[in-house]
Amino acid sequence: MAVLETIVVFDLNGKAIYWHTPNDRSAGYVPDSDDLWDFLWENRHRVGGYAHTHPGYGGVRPSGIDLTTFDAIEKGLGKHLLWPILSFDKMVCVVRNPLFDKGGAKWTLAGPLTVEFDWIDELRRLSGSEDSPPP
Amino acid sequence: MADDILNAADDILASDERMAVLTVALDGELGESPDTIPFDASDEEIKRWATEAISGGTIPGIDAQEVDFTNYTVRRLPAKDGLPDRVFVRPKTEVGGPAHLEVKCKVPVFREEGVDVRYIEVNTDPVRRHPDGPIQVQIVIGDQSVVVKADSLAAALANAVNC
Repeated sequence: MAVLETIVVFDLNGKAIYWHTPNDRSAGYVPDSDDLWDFLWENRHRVGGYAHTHPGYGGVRPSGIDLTTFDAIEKGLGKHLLWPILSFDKMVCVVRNPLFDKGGAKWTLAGPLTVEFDWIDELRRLSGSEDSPPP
Repeated sequence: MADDILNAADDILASDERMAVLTVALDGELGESPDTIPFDASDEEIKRWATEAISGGTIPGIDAQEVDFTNYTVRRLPAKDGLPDRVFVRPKTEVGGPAHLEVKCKVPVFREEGVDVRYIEVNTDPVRRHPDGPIQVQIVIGDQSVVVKADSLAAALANAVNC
């Protein structure tokens, strides 16, 4: 299986509600999608977050494209979401910084979460982790 | 007389123009502009009209506000099932970056047997790369890629030369 960035959308309880695995995604990019937007819009009242992978091992950080997409989707939906980003062995959760107007960065990393995600292993598997052993 | 003909021609062209309903997703609302817009207008024009409509408060259901649609995308839906042509201005959903960097420079690669180095790209575009990030070098090997800092490579090169 190829190594591919993959997206899962989860609800307010942290449960997976939509797997986004388009054929045109690559190891470093998932293109814009009408289907994904339609799902987010139609389920906007129960969407809690949108996680995606950066296939590989080690620490992860959002790209500039990630952050502008987070910003646009929150603007469109009119709500803040949780934005987990996962490598094959690490995960960070990006959130909008409530102190942005006080001079902080626009985005920050969330602290420990009280919710357990049951989709993490499957998201990594769909991203090609089984064929990409640790270095 | 000539002006009259030109005006008439403009009217005919205008009447033949394919018009669409403009719909904008903002603040959890889907607002529809009472004014139609050309279906085939450029994305930039459509975003500008949407921006003006929002700031002017002319879209019912969406409060007047200054808004930046830079990170939105334009979707055109041809008329179907009795619905008119529609143009949606909605948030983009893409994620990623390194594989979609704007390529400013391609670097020749010495191929090594058994290693499928497909290409190396250097991104210097301050808009496309991480706002606070360094210039990036992406190395794509088979289906995987790695991104390293350009200044790290330059430092390594300088050290190697000085050895």
